[in-house]
Amino acid sequence: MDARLRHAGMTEHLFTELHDRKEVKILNKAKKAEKKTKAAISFHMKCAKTANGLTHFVMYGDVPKKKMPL
Amino acid sequence: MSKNSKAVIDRGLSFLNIDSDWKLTLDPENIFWGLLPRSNGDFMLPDDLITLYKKEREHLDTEMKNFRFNEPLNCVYIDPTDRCNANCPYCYIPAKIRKNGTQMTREQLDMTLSKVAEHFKATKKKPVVVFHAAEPLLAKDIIFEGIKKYHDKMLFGIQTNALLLEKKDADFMMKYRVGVGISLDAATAAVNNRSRVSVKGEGNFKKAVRALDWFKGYEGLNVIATVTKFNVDKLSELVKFLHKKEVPCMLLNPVRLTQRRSWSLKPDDMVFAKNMMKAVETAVGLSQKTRHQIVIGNFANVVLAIISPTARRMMCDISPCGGGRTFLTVTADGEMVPCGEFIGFREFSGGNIFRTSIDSAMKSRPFKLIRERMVEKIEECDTCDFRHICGSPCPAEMHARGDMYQKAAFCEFYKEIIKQAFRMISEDKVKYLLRKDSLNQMAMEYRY
Ligand code: SF4
Ligand code: SF4
Repeated sequence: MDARLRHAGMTEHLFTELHDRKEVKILNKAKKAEKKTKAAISFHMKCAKTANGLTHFVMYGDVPKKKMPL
Repeated sequence: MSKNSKAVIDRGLSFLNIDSDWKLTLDPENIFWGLLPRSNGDFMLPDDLITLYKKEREHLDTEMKNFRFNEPLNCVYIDPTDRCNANCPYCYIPAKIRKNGTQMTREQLDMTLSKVAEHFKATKKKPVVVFHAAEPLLAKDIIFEGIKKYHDKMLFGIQTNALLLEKKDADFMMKYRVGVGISLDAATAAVNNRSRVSVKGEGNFKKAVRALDWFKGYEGLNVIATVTKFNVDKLSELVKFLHKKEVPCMLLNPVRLTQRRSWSLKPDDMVFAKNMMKAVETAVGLSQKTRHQIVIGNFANVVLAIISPTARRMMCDISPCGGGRTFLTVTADGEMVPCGEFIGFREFSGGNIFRTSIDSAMKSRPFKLIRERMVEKIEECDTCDFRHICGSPCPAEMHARGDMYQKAAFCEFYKEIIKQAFRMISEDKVKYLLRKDSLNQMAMEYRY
């Protein structure tokens, strides 16, 4: 997972920095290499504050009492 | 294939392709999932992922079982009036009821709220009370009195078309931290007012937009759009419009086909899925580029169903659904039905709250019938990999269409958006799909 993130970050950086064709070619190669090295992803999360998630989206009835930055 | 991976497949890990880069492995029974790069070869399940699966399997099975069968009642919808000042073509309340329906008296609403308080007096968490259809603000005086009287015992929400909303009402709702849902189907009056028709004929666009300005920056604001043939190709415009208004959360709910007159408004599943994803991508793009995040609640709920199944908020896409289980609806004449969608089917009443208790409704035969409607008993859903992410909604809608035990009317839509949700997880977009404050409240249980 971390490797995947690092790769994604790197290609993004390359996209913004590189313009000429040669470099785009290099970039495409890098992208291909990235595909090959992608790792599997799996995770599972739990609500830390409540058991049944009633505090998630502010749908109805669970508006935080204090103002929160949006 | 290693011996290890064969054993796992026998237990029920399925495989399917998400896109050209990723394939999915999933235990449909407990939503253990893994996204595998396709470049690894077709059935290459890493051994340490199998080990993780074996380690977590039992715990995930229990978690899913508890969420499906042991989650307590925690929300009561109250319809203080059956009347409405709008005439939306897809409304699930029969027109006759909306025109001549009853309205609760002050005493009846107080009795209802006191029975809710009584029912939940021993529970630690406050129950949620939502004033809902038809148009609750037709009875705003008694609703606001109820909120003032009971706000320390329960949390409130109001769903409204905003036609009767005044500035002072909005201030009251924000002061009491009431969750508010404003109905708005499109970013232009011309499209919105085709489906959100007021009785006077002009639609709710102007009033709903005025209300959005009053609630600007309020965390408890949602906009609820019902997706029909009229607005299905304009969802992305609605996202941009609401983002400008700083709306934090919106829902793009498929039209329920509970009343026959709504059947002709159903959008095509794949057209809806394509436009839903366009809207989601628009919301993600805006949330990435600007200070204001906008979340599409029903898509976020699908993402939660995958990454944190018990954190789901919306109870339509879990089987059995939340109707008569985690919530119920009290109609204006006091009848308790499993969900507002059953308002036209009085054979599903679990008793009258003016004469009996919430507890007896929960134990009633009609409520049991709804809780017994499960994906395992529905053809095609019983073997579908996404059965505990989609949940095959909705029993009321399918009852109206002849048999409750049929798969969801929007089956193909759900299949597509669930696949797309996995794709977005593979792209590491979760942080833009869920509200920041909700993510902050979640803890990682395991991570491969
Ligand atoms: S699936 Fe239908 S009956 Fe169940 S909670 Fe959703 S709308 Fe109500
Ligand atoms: S309705 Fe369709 S997607 Fe949903 S569980 Fe049934 S078969 Fe699967």
